[in-house]
Amino acid sequence: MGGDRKKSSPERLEKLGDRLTKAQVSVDERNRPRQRQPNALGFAFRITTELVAAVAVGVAIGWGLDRWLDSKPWFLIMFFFLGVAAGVMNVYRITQSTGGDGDVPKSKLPSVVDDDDD
Amino acid sequence: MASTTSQGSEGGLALDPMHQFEISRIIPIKFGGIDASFTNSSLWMVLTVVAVSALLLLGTKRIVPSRLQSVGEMIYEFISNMVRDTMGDEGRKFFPFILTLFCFILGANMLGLFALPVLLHPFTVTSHIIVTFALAGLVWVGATVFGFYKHGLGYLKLFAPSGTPPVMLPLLVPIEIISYLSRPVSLSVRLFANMMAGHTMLKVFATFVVALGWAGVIPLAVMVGFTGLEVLIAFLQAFVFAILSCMYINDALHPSH
Repeated sequence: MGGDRKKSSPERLEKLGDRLTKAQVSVDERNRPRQRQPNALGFAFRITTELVAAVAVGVAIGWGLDRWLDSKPWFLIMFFFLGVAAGVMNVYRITQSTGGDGDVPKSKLPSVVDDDDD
Repeated sequence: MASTTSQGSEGGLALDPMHQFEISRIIPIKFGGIDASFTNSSLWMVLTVVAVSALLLLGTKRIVPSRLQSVGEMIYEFISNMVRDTMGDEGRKFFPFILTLFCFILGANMLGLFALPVLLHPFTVTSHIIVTFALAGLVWVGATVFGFYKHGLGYLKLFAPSGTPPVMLPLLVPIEIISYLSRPVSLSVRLFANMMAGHTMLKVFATFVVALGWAGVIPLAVMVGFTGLEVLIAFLQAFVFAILSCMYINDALHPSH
């Protein structure tokens, strides 16, 4: 009986692995629809804040540099446009990671976030 | 406390929808030159912590959970799944932090929705930008420090995505840095604006109920709907805050994937 067990242990491990994957897949499937609930309002609000925040940070940096270096208004202008670019990039990343239909579907997040940083 | 003054000013349209956001000192404390008074905001933070701790700690012994225990278990599982999905196994060590963050924000949002000033006038801690900014700043500074601690200067690769032509770098790096700096701003502004706008809107509609007399039934009905929506927003914003924190910490864990 002991020998039998030893012989079949790789098989059993494999079976166990299969069962684990199946269980994991079913858990993932169960979780997915709940996370994918589209919420257009939240999504729109999220995009707005990302855009505005980046522009605000850009303007703040430009304004600060201008004050520091006494170079009005060149840094302000430059960093305003950089801020707009950063804001658009933020929005682009969000739409890339969600497909534009939901707030933050988590199942897709890790891989897409990784892609962005490549 | 604040409850008496705010109710005293009730005279139809004279009700100030912004009054609910005022900070009042309960126990004045001076710390050197700094005003470190125990305010109504502090009080509601303490109440939030107490309420959330009670929910998660008390009555967790039963095998067949009571309703309250189910809520606590659902929150735990929900955040646990979220942490695993966004950060993988490495992110497990951040689970207590994310759970605390989520529970605190959700608790503060929800407690602020209590409309009846029974003993105290309800106060939404998260409707003040300094509170949300402190939370977002904590996440952001923490993630940045952790990123540098884990990857050293390699963390700076986050600002220069590999595969970009070197010609583009002088333009792209400032954009990436601004984008990175805008994270705590957008994170805090989103939560604060949602909470403040929602509560102001509720107060304005509540004023209509009083002002319109018998026709006030119509705004009252709208109020019921809005309150439901506010509960949803309170949850959603706590969730968004938590998941974005996860994503930022994930960037610190794996900056260059």
